[in-house]
Amino acid sequence: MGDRRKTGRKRDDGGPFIKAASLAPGEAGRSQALAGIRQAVQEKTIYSHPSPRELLLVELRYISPGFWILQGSLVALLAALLEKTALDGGALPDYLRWISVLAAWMGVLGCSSLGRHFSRGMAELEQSCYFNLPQLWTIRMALSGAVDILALVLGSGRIAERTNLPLVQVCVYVLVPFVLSNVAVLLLFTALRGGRGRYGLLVTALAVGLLAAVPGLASGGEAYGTARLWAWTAALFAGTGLYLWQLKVMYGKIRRGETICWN
Amino acid sequence: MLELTLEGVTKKYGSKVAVNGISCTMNRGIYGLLGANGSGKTTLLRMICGILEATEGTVRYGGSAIGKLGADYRRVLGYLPQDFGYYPEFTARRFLLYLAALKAIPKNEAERKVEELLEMVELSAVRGKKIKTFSGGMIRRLGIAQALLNDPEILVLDEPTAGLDPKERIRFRNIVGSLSKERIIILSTHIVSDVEYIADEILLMKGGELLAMGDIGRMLERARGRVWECVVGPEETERYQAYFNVSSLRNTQKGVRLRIVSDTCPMEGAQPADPDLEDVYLYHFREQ
Repeated sequence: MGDRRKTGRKRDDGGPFIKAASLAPGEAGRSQALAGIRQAVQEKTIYSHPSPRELLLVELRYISPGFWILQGSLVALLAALLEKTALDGGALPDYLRWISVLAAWMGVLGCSSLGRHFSRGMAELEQSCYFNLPQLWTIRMALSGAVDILALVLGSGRIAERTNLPLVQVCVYVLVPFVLSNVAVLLLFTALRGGRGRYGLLVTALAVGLLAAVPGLASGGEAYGTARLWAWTAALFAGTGLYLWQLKVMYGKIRRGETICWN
Repeated sequence: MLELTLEGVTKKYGSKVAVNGISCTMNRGIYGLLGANGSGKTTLLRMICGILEATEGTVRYGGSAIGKLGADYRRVLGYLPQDFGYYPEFTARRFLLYLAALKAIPKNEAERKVEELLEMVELSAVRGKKIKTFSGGMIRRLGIAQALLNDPEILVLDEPTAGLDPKERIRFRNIVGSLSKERIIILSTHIVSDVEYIADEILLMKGGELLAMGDIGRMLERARGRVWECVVGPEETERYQAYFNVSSLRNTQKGVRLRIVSDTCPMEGAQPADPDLEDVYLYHFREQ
């Protein structure tokens, strides 16, 4: 009887302790559980929401060195030709003749890297990724466009300084061939699917370069007279508008799969 | 919820209907999309991936239209296109890291995953080599690796075995078969053996339409009683081939043993045989 009472008291007082002690894992069990958790954490896909800045860095990391070398070469050539023209005591048309051609080539080069997605057959795969093709294009164009425009504005500043013309006026003359060459390349991508390759771009570069040189060569550069400035300004705005419209059309076609799947 | 629903998905190119009103629901598992070339498999897969806009109908993931999900859908998607492109001057590792970046995988996680996948597809030894030096099979394996980078909930593989030799195809089958079943895997092919052993369900496509969908057992059951074996003289072989769908033909000492897929018994003495998936395929594509 006494034994039974003793046993019962033990059960009442120590029960919860015994229960808790049986649930607590041993050292080995704890290590095993922690290892399991660590592995699960490591294997779990962590979703991040990268910012546009991070996408910019991704693009910077994967743009081919060849692209930057070509861009750098064009900028260096631009600086050298501007200095040579300055040393020769050249007038406004002498400067613009060169810088317009180089601006046009910069535009072609900037857009040419976009054609790479198609010529390498990567567009379809890239379009299926979290960052899709229009996002990649936007970042790429913003990057190369910013570099080009900076170089061209600096070049325009040098010309303005030498010719005593307002910087804005020179910028208008220089940016028109740049914008129109961008338009020409996008037109090549949208209208002529077969022209996205290297040769299509080469022909485009030659054509827009030649056209860009015409105002400087024809009639002794009369086209750059102040009286025609309105026409240049109109061309710049129209070209920019056309470029943005083309981008919108192109992005719409990519979204619907027309550009990617109908090759 | 892991559920992909196709509701009357249609794609028209002018008057040509490439995919015609396909409706089905897919849950976790491996789905083998079988069909002849030009049957609309690639068009359907492109619409499932959100790369091509459907003319009519909707693709839904977890109840939401994939067009509305946008990047959130692409985040859980892995895709190997039929024409798998690559940047030839990239090394295998750089290529995978590039795509990992596009898939918004954090850098440290991407480094680990790339190494793991290179190991899985047996390209670790050539991780630093430029892709332009790779064989067709190696490029295909690289394609599979990139599709798995984000541990996708939906994995779409369009003709993944095209151009692979038998050894590579077996290796590919083993890779897909070993993947976790906690995802939807859609694998299109016109080679029956690619999916026969690994698919949980088969979708048969013909002329842009879904002819049949179901597990292999049910498909085989449906073909039961329509597969026959008989032995004929060598001179009769040609005649039988002209009249019936002969799925196999083997010379034996007694004559030529034919395996025929037909609704009716092709000749007196022909014995019913157990159907296999090739017979089912032939039965559905018998006019072609």
